[in-house]
Amino acid sequence: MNAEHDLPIRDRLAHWVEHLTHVLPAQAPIRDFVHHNTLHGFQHLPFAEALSAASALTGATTWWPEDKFRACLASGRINIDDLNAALDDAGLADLDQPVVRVLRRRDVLLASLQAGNEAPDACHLDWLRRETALADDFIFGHFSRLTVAMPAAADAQPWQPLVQARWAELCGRVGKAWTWRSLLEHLSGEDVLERVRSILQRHLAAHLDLGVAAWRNPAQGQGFFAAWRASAGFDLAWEMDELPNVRDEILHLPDSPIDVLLEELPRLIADESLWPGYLQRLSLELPGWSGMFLWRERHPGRGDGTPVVMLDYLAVRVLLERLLTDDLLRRLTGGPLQLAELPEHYAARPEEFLVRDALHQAWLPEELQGRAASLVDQARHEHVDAEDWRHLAAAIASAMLGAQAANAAWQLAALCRQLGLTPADLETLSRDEIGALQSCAGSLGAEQRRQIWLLAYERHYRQQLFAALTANHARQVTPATPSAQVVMCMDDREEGTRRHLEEVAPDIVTYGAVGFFGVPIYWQGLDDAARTALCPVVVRPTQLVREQGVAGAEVEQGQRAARRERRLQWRERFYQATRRRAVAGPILTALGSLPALAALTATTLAPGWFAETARRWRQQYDGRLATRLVLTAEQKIAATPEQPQAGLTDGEQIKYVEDFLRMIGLTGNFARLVLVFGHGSGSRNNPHLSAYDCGACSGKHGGPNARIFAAMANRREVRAGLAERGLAIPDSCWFVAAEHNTCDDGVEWYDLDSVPERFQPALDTLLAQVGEACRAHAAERCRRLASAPVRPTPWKARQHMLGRASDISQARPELGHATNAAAFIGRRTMSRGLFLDRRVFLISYDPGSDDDGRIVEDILLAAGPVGAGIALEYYFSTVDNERFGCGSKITHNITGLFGVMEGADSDLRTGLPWQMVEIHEPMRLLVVVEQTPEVLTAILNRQPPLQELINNEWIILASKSPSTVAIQVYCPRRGWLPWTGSSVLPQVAHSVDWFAGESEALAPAIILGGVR
Amino acid sequence: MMVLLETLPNWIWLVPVLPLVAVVINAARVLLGTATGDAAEPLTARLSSLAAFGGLVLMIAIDALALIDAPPGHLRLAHSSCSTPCR
Amino acid sequence: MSLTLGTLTALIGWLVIRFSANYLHREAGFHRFFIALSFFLAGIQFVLLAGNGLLAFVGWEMCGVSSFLLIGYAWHRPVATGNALFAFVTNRGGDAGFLLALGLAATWLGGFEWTLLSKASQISVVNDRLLVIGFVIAALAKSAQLPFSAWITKSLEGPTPSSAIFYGAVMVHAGVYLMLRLEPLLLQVPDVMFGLVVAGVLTAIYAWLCGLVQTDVKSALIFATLFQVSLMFVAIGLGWTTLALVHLCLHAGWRVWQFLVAPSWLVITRERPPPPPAWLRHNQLLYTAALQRFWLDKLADALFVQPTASFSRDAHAFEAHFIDHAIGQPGQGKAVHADRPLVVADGLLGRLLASASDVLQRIEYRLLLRGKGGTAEKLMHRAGAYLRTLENLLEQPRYLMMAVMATFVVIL
Repeated sequence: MNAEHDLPIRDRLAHWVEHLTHVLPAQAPIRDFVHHNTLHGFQHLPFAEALSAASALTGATTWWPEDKFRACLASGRINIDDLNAALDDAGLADLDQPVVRVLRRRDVLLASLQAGNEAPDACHLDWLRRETALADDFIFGHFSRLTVAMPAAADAQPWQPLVQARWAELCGRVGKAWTWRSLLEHLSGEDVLERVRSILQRHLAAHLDLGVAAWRNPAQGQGFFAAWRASAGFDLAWEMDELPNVRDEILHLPDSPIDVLLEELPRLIADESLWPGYLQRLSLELPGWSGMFLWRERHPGRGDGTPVVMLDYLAVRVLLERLLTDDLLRRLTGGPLQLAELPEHYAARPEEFLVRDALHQAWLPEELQGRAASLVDQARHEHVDAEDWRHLAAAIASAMLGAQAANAAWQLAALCRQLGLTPADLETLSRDEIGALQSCAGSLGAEQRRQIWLLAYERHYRQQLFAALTANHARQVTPATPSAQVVMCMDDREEGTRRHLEEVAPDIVTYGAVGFFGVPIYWQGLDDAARTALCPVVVRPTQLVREQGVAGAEVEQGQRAARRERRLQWRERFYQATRRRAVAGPILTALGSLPALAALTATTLAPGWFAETARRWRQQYDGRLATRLVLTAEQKIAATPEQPQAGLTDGEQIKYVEDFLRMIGLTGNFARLVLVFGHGSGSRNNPHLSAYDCGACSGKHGGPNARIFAAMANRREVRAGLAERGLAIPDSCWFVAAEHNTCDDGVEWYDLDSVPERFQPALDTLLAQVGEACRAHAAERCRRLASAPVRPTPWKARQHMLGRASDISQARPELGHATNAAAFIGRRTMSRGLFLDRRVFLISYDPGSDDDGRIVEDILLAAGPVGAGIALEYYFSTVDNERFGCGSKITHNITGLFGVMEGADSDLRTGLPWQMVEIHEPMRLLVVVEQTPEVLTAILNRQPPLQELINNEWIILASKSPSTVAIQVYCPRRGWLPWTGSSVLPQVAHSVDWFAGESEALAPAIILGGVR
Repeated sequence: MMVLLETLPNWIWLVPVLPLVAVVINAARVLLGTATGDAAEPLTARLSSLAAFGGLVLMIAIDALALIDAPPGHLRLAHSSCSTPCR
Repeated sequence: MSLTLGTLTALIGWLVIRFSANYLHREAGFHRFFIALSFFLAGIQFVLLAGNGLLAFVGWEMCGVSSFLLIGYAWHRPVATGNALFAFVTNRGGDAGFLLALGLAATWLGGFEWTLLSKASQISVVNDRLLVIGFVIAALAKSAQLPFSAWITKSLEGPTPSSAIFYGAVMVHAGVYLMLRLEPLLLQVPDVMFGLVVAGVLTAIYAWLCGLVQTDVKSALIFATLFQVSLMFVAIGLGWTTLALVHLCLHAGWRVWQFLVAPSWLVITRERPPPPPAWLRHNQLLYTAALQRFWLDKLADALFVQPTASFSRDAHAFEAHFIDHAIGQPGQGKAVHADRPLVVADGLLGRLLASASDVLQRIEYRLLLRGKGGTAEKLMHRAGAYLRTLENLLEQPRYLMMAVMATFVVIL
C-alpha cells in the first residue's frame, strides 16, 4: 500500500464508520437509559420504507405478526371498518375495480387479510389431513385438485436451473444482506458467529469495562487492536480449536488496524464497492457490542480514558471472519478452497446445494427432513458419495413442487371461504378467474399486509380518542377561582395522577409540560459526587445548581458527609472485597453473612417495611440536614458545558420562569398555591432503573428541576422582573415543589418549612388532596399488574406499591410507559373529565395567546422527538423483543457497568426488556394539537425536523380546532382529512367505576366527577 | 404433647420428601394441562414455597429439641436414612 | 452438622423460592423452574440428611439433574443448552467417583452407612485410600475444584435465583459437606488430605486470578465463590474441619444475598476495585491465561464432552443402521395381513409385535374360555415367585448397587 492511496482510503473508512452510527443501536451505558427511536438512522425514510429497509438489513421483524392482528380482529380491538379504511389509508390503487364478477379488489384484499397468507408446513398439513376433516373439506379438495393439476407440466422440467438460480441469488446477497458466515451457516448449519462471539466477547468486555474488572489488559492503553493482538498471541485456544496457523498469522499482522483491514477485506470480497456494505453487515451481527463500541468512540468523555476506536474493532472482526470462515469452508468442502471459489463450487454441485438449502424450508416433509439432516451431518464427519446427494435431491425436488401446490391450494381455499363462495360458485369459476383471484390476493407483500393491519389497529384507537374529544367538547369548564394549580410532567403515567387529583379536588387546575420545566441545568445534590445534566439529552446545559446544607450548618454538613462516606466505603468494601480480596474476603464474608441472611429474610417477608426501616437507619446514621439551593449567580460569565456557571443570574431566572409560564398558558388568575410536580421512579435490583425515570431529564429524576423552578418563581427579584414584562404573580400566590415517585406513588415535598405561614391552611389541604389522588392512582395501576391485589382499596393499593417498589425480587416494579399511544397539546379543558387510561401525554398549551403558532412550534420541536422516541422505542421493543429489545430480565447479567448480557456469554442486549413491553400495544404516537390546520401547516413547512417526523409518518398529527368540535387528521399524501364519526361515550361518575375489575386496556369514557 | 415432641425427629424424612411431593403435584398439574396462564402461577409457587417452609419449620423444631434435650443421637430414619449426632 | 446445614439449606431454599415467585412471574418456564427448584431442594436435603451413601448418591444425582435443567432454562439459546450439557457431562466424572467408592464400600465394608464408613479401620490403608479417592473425586467435581472447575463458570445461563442457590450458596458446597461427613475416613489417609490441600490451593490461585479479570457480575461472583470454597478444601486438608464447617455456613449465607442483589451492582458499587500488584498487572501471559480461564473449558470440552458426543453419534448411527431396521419406525408400516388393514408393522420388531398380538389374542380366548385352573394361572404363580426372589436380591445393597451402576454404564 503506497502513500498516495493511504489518505483516500482512510477517509473512506472514516466515512463508512460514520455511516455505522445510523444502523447500530445508539444506546448509552445503561445507567443513562434514554428513550430514543430504535431506528433513528432510518428516520429520513418514510415509516413503511424504513421498516422494510431495517428488516432487510438487520433481519429483524419490524411489524407485529399478522396472527396477533387477526386475534385483535377477533377480539374486537380492530373491526372490519378499520381494516377497510386502512386499505384506503395505505394508498392502494384501484380498490373498487372488479376482479372476478361482482368481487372488487377491496373485497378480495379484505378477505385475504382476514384469511391470512400463512400456509401450514408439510408436517402440519399432514397432521390436519389425518386428524381433522380437512381431507373431506370440499373447497380444499377442489383447489388441491386444481393446483396439483396446474404444475403438472412443470414436473417434467429439470429442477437444476431453478436451484442454480437460487444459489446465485444467495451468493449475490453476500456483502449486502449477508456475510460469508450467513451463507456458510445456511449451507452447513454451523454458525461461525458463535465462535467469533466467544473469542471476541471477553476481550471486548475487558476493553470497554467501566468498573467491574480489577485487572485490565496490560496493552489496553494502545487501543483494542493492540490489546487483542497482544493477548491473542499468547492464546492457546487456537491450537485447541485446531487452528494452529492462526497464531503465526496474528504474529505477522501489520501494526496498523487499517492495514489489516486493507489486507483482509480483499481476501473476503474482491469487489471494493461492496466493502462498506460488508462492514456494515459484519458489525450488525453483534449489534449490541458493535453499537456500544461505536458509542464509546463517539463519546470519549464518557469512558474511563481507554482509547476506543471503531476501526480497531472492525479490523479484529474482519480478521476473525476470514480466519474462521476459511476454516469452516475447508471442513465443509474437504479441500483448500478460497471464499471466492465457493460460488463455483456449489454451482457445480446443485444436488448437494439443494439438499442443504432445503433443510431450512418449512415445506420439507418430516421424513425428508430427517434424511437431509442426517446426510448433512454425515458430510461433516466423512465423505458423502455424490450419488447419495443426487438421490435425495431428486426426492426433495418433487416434494418441493407438491408443497407449492398444497400451499397455493390452502391459501385459495382460505380466501374463498372468507369470501363466502359456495361450492356451487367454485364449480363455475374458470381457471383464469382463479388465477385473477390468486394474483389479486398475492399483490400485497408480507410487509404491506402488516402495514395495513397496523393502520387499522391505530385507526381503531384513533376513532375512540376522537370520539372522546368530541364528546368532551361541550363539557369544557374552568374553575373560576382555582384552589391550586398543579404543573406536572407531560408523561403518560401522570395522566392518571392528574385525573385522580381533579376528581378529588374539582377546583384544582392541572397543567402538563416537558418534565424539566424549562430549566436546563446541571444539578449536584448534597450527596452527589458529580454533576448530572437534568434536561433533554440534546441540550447541553451551561449552568450548575448545587444543593447545600442551610447556612450555618457547615459543620454538620461536613460531619454528615464524612459519616456517609464511611458508610458507603464499608458497603463498597463488603461487596467488592468479598469477591476480590484473598484474606479480607473470607473475613468480611463471615462478618456479613448473618446480617445478609437477616436482611434477605426481612426483605422477603416484608419488603416495604424493611426498606423503610433501612432507610430510617441510614438517615439516623448519616444525620438529617435541612438543605438549600445555591441558586443565584451574581454575574453572568461566559460558561461552557464543561465549565458551567454556578447558579443562574436574575435575568436568566426571569427568562426561564416567564418562558415556561407562557408556554403552558399560566399567565394570570394565579391560585394561592402553584405546585410544580416533577417525577422519578425508585425500584430495587433493577438494571433498567433509569428507563422508568423522566425522559425529559435524560433518564433522571425531575424533582430538582421542580424545586429550582419553584424557588425561582418565589424570589422577589424574579417576580419584580416578571411584573415588568407583564406577567404579574401576586403576593397571594406561592410556588411549592414536589417529586412524584411513579413506582410507589409516594410524594417527596421540597422546602415546606420555607412556605410562609399564611399559606399553611391551603398547603395542608393540598397535601391531603395530593396524597389521596396518589392512592387512588395506585389503585388504578393495580389493575394492569397480574400480581397485584384485585379491586384494592386506595390504602391497600398504596401499600402494595410501596412493597413492590422496594422488593428485590420484583421484575416489574412498574410498567413504565407501556401502552402509551397519543399526545394532546392544548388546554387541559380539552381532555379534562375523560378517562384516558394513562395512555396519553398531556402537554398544556393555550392556543388563545398564540396566533402565529410560535409557542406550539417550540412545544412540537421539544416534545415531538421525546414523545416519538418513547413511543417508537416501545413499538420496536414490542414487535421484535429479541432483536430490538433485550429479552427477559431474569437471565440478565450486568456487564462492565455499561450493559446487560443474557447469561455470561451473549451479545450485549439493548432496548427494553420484555417485562416492560409485554402489555404494550405497538402503535405510532398520535399527536393531537389544539390549533388550526393552517397554523400547523405553516409550522410544518418551516421546520425540517418536524417534516421528517410527520411527513415520514413516524408520528401522526391531528388538529383539534380551538373553538369548534372539528378534528382533522394530517396525511402527508392527501393533506388534512376532516374526521367524522359517532361521539357517544359511556359516562361514569368516577374513574374507579370504569376501571374496577378490568385488567385489559380500556376505551375512553367520560368521568362526570372530573369536571364540576 | 411430650410424646409428640419426642417422636418429632423421626419425621425428619419429611424434609426432603415435602419438596418431592410439591414436584409431583406440580408436574402432574403441568402434564394434565391445568397449570397454564397467570392464574395457575400462585398455586405452583405456593406449593413449592409451602413445602420448603414446612421443611424449614421441621428442621428448626428438631434443632430446638436437640439443643434442649440431649442430642437425639443416632437416629434411624425409616429404613435407609438416618442422621448422625449433630455438632 | 447435618442438622445445621439442613436448616440453613431449608432457609435459603425457602427464601429463594419466595424470591422466584415474583421474579419469574409470567415467564414461559415458570412451572418448569419451580419443579426443578423443588426437585433440587429435595435432592440436596437427601444428600445432607441421608444416613448412608446410597441415599446421598440419589440426592447427589437429583441435584445434578436439576442443575442441568436450570442451566438449560432458556432452551432456545444454543449457548444455554450447550453449557447445560457441558456441566452435566463433566459432573458425570464426579458421579463415577462416587459410584466407585460406594461399590468399594459395599464390597469391603458390606454397607454404605456413614457410621460404618467412618469406622473403616478394619480395611487396609490401600483399600481405604482407593475408597476415599472415589469420594474425593465426587466432591471435587461437585464443588467445581480443579480439574473440574470449568463447568461452574459455564453454568450461569439460568435465571438469577437459580444461579444464587446452586452455584452461589448451596450446591457448590455439597462437595465440602461430603468431605466433612467422611472426616474420620479421611484422617486415615494423610496423603489424600495433602492432595486436597493441593487441589484447593491450585483452585484458589486459579479462581483468584480469573476473578480479577471478569467483567460481568455473575462471573465475577462465581469465581469469588470458587475461591472461598477452595479455601474450605484447604482447611479440610489441613484437618481444620470445624473451621471449614463454620466457613461453609457463613459463606452460603453471604453469597446467596450477593447473587440475588447482583442486578443492583450499578447502584451498590461506586468505583473500580483496586488493581492487583504491579508485577502481576503487567504480565501479559498471565493476563491472557486468566482471561481465557486457563483454557479449562476448552480442555474439558475436548476431554469430556466431545468424546461423549462422538460416542452418542456412534450410538445413534448404530441405532439408525441396525436397531431401526429391527424395530421399525412409526408410520412406515405396511399391512401384515391383507384382510386386517388396521394392523400395520414395519421392521422385525413390528412384525414380532404383530404376531405377539395374535398370540395374546389366542391366549385371551383360552383364558376366557377355560376359566380358573388353566395353565395361565400356574404361569402367573411361577412368575410371581421369580419376582419375589429378584426383589430379595435387589434389597441386598450390592445387587442394587450393580443395578444402579449398570444403569449408569448404559447412560454414559
